[in-house]
Amino acid sequence: VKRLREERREAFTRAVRFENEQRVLGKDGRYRWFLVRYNPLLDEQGRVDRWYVAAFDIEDRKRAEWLRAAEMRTLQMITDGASLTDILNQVCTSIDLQIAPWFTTILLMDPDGKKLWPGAGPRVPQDWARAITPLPVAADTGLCGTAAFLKTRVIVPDVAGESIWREEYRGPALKNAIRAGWSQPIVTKDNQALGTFAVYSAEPRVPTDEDLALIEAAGPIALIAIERQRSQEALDKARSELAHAERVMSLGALTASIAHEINQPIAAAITSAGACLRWLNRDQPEVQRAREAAMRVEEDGKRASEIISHLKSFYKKDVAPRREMVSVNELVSDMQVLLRSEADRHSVVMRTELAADLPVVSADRVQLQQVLMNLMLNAMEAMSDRGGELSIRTRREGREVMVSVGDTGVGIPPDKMEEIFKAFFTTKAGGTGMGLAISSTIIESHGGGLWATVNPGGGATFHFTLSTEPEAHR
Amino acid sequence: VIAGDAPVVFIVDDDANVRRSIQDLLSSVALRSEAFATPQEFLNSKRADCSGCLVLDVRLPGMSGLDCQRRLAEAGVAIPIIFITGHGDVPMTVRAMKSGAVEFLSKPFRPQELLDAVQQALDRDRKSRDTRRETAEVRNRYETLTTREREVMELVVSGLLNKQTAAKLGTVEHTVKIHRGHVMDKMKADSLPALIRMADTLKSS
Repeated sequence: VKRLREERREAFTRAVRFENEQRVLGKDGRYRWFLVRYNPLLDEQGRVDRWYVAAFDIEDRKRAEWLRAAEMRTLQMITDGASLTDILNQVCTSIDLQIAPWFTTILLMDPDGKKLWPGAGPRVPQDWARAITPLPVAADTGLCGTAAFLKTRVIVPDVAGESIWREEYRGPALKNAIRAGWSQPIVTKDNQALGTFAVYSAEPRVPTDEDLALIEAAGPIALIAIERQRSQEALDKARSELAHAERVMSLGALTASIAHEINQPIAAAITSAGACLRWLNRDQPEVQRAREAAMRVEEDGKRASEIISHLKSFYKKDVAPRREMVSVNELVSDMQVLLRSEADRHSVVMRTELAADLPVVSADRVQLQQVLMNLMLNAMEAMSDRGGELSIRTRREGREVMVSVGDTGVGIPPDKMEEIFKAFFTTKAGGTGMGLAISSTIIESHGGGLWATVNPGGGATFHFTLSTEPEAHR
Repeated sequence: VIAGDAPVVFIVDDDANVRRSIQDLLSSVALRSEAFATPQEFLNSKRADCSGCLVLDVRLPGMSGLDCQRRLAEAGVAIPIIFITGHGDVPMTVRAMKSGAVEFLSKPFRPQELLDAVQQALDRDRKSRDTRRETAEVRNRYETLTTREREVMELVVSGLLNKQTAAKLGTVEHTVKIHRGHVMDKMKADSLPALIRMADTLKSS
């Protein structure tokens, strides 16, 4: 406003026609954009006698421009891979600038289609959002529940006098100074509600046609963002299910070895328990020796249960990929325990060379275990006829952690180097051919790479890298 | 108190806790033991000739228990072996038993089972050591016989009378009688059947 006044004062001194765009507060308490033209009427001396001022309502043009800009911004965020929350918050923020004193919020439909969750709404009172969500989709559950249920716009000019709201929704609304509002469902082409816009006001108020049009216009862009997120989730889910299936299959093949591995501590515990009893049953009971034996029983029992909990995490089906801080060295040691018997069965000796200064990575622990297991099992398979050495090396490479799994086995023919990473490529009788393809996908989703090299002395080495910078991930 | 020449139970298992628990169990019944993580360590220790027995894990890194059994046999070491395994693998059991394993226990075994097997293995070791010692003694005695005495012994134990022996060797009965007396003395045989048994021992060794 100050800048506008400066401009005008300066323009008035120059006696030439000029124009500017202004946002003017109307009688209804709303701002509208006007184009204002100033034409000077000059007297005989060429001085300004008076100014003719004409104002044109350009609100519609402004809104169209704004809408295009907002759409562009949102699309840019979608291409940049911003999170759905960030995108929808941005949509709300730019609507709020246009629609004041109303403010906007977006609720998202649960995959079950029966309830709504908070999606965005930078200005919505948090207490209110917490009080009403998850919001059941029904004919009497507040603005959004009703709008999503009916798949049509629902307007409530005054919450206090509204009868379609159940008391449990009306109460918190009034308490959080939400007095009026309307909800516009976000509906797909096949008439499925993926969420709702809700616009609120602290005072009883009726939305203008322009207000309603604005929210309606924002619908498609929100729909794109939500649908994209949904298809990404579906893809992630399919990938993770495939990875899980592969994991379970490879574990199935390891049953005998894993049983052996669990048997070790159990055998040790039972033997120690036997020793303990015999120390106590002596004519002169050796209490100290018995105590030591009993402590070893405890220790071995714990060891057995740890192996089982490793396994459990492997069988667990995580729909969404998780991110946690993972020590790759620890992961290698865990896999060594799990696969020790399998190595023995193939007469393979495992050696590790783990860098002491290895930084932790933000990763999905189970998926990384799966990659390691795949590579280690492949290596053993490559050496199964004659035994050999399986070496696992970890080291720091700049901002990445690099893991190398090497074998002294049959190696890979140069013309097959690319092919081995493709789905359904297998040299094993019982192989699915998915192991390396899935491993590759997993590593890529962690912002790293997986490749193989041929060892000069025979055999192959598989390397993968993991970024230590969390933002590098998708 | 354990005597210096008391038998030793050798344990080869790659799992440290399993090794320690078996050692403790044996120790609780006053048996001496030594443990090794790999068959190689055991073979290198040159302890296999001690009196005792071997508790051997079938599945070991580098060299399997069965390979170890073969290596010991090739080296002429006759130590009784008790195999333990984490999984009851039938073909492996058959192979091991055919190669002279005393017992094949699958993990987790009952402590008493192991102790019984160890006891059985130690008995077998003691007996086979006794037999080997006897054979060696008989052989030593046999080595002291002259060529003619050996000829006389061979014909006598084959059932010929002194007269027939003399005829075969182209000598007189009296001379055969003297040789035969020397044979009985040198071989420390108090009867003809005892001498026949010694001859059998020599033949079979």
